[in-house]
Amino acid sequence: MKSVEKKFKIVCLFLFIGILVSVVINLNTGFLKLNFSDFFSSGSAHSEIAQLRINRILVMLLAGISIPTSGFLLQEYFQNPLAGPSVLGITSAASLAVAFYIFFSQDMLLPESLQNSFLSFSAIVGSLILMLLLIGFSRRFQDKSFLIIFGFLISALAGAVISILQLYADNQSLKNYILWSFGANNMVSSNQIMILMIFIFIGLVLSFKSIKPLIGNSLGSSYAQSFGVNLNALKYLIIIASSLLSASVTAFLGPVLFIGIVVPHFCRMIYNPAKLWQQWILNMILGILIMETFSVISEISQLPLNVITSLFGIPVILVMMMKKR
Amino acid sequence: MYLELKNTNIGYQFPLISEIHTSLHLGEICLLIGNNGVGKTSLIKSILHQIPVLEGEIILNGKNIKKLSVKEIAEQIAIVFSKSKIPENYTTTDLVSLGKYLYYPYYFELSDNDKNEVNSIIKDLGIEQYKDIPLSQLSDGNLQKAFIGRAIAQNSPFIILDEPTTHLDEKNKITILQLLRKLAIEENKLILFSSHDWRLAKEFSDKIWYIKNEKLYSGITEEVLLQHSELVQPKLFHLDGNFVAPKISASKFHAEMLYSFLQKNFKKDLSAFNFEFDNDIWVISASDFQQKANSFEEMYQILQNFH
Repeated sequence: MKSVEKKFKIVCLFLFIGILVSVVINLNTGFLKLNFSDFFSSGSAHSEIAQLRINRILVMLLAGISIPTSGFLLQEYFQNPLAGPSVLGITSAASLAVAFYIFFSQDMLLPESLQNSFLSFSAIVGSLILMLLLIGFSRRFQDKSFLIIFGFLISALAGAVISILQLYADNQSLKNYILWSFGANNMVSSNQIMILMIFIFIGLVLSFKSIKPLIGNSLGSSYAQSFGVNLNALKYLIIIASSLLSASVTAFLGPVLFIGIVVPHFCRMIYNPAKLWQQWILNMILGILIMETFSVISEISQLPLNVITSLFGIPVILVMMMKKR
Repeated sequence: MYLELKNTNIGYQFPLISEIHTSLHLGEICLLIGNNGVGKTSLIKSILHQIPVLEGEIILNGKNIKKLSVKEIAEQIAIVFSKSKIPENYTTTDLVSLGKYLYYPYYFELSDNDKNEVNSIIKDLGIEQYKDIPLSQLSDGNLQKAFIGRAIAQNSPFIILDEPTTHLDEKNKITILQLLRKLAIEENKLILFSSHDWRLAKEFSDKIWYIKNEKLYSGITEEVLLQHSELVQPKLFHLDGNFVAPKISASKFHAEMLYSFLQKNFKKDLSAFNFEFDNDIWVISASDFQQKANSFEEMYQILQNFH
């Protein structure tokens, strides 16, 4: 018993050191060599670039916390290792909203910074509309597999509509959309980070409330009810928490949701899957480490974040699975 | 009175069991019997308020269950379902610890006191050596014990078990039944359990709820058995329409054996014969004939030759 807890602390410590290292490296990665003073004095020559890098690190940190949490909640709720933030159709709804926005704003002349904010705003609105739809529909259906089917249908529908929009879009719009879908938006402003933080904070509070009911749900719904778990409340908690967490990050970073499926898996491999509280903490720490590392790789290689997550994430997880067998 | 059902109808769209009038006290152990599909599990789920009562009311510790929250019901009733999802990664200790779930508001990590209690429950159940073993590696009997352990850890005055002895061998069945009896007597718990093995289980129960023809008959075990003779006098199975049993004078046990042997091998009217078991020898006689057989093997030969 004691040794298990000790193992958890050691794993956390190592990951934490990893995060520190990756953050420092991340701060030092980019076109320009920055001095120590650039990060602290606002008057220095490159302080603006320093601010950008700090923002980049903050965004990766927030994404590293929220996306794995969202995936973890959904996987535990559906008790299905394939569930992830995209399973509810949130990503597709965000993509659809972004596609609509890009398509219909192509004739408008907007400054780039505003353009970005509107883009993120439309992604959030799209996801929230879908979230409300999900809640509304799930009131009528007790069976939770309905949620997955609903998400799948929405994704398929959104995909079709996006294809139509792409067909009629001009070159610049098409490029904008594709860049967004790569997870290419590295220029997140401080204000946007504030908005992101608010969303993620609410999402995390709701996640905190849903861990215990999820533990109660581990023997199935009949048992959960007999333990005093309010199954309806749990369903709404999961929908709202995972939507807020994945929608906000998708809005600012593009659909970088792959780690939402992989990180919870990874955590189960390295620590006892029955301990959900520890699993959750592990998900967040590992998520931050991976996002910071990928951000460095993405910066060095000049490849979009989404490409990096898949390119590096999948081989690692495959190797881990092989070793486990 | 701890549990009371007043004029209750149980079922889904249509009642499976109607007009139930019965009650149970703490410290009692009650056996729920009836054929497959008569609504045993539905009745259990109704008491747990997992399916709504169609008519009438169910009173739990003085309160209508409709007015209790899921949590309040969980404080009163612990349940062992007949089947459930088995979380692969849980160890026996993890499963039994879930019984304490209810008593932790947010963070679920057992206090030292609760850990000790969980350990002693596991010890009492005799599954101590499996306490850190994943559930997927436990035998059916030990798994069942672990689920019962979880229900005990919940510390509720009322434990319901749906078919707790299925898939178990005779020895484990008796262990579980003795454990239930011990819980009722020593800890003054109310135990309601359903079982198909009622011939064995009745020996351990104070009361019986017997469901037949959409009605629930309840009372002291022996009383219910007396009133429903089909329960105590199992009919000898009739395999073949042509077979008519001979006159048999032997102990009940031997008579049953002879009956089933004759029925299987001779699909005829044997009423003209008389079989008597005397000093380990079967005496077979008819109006003009008498012979002795030491074994069923010999008897088979004799009867074959006769016809």
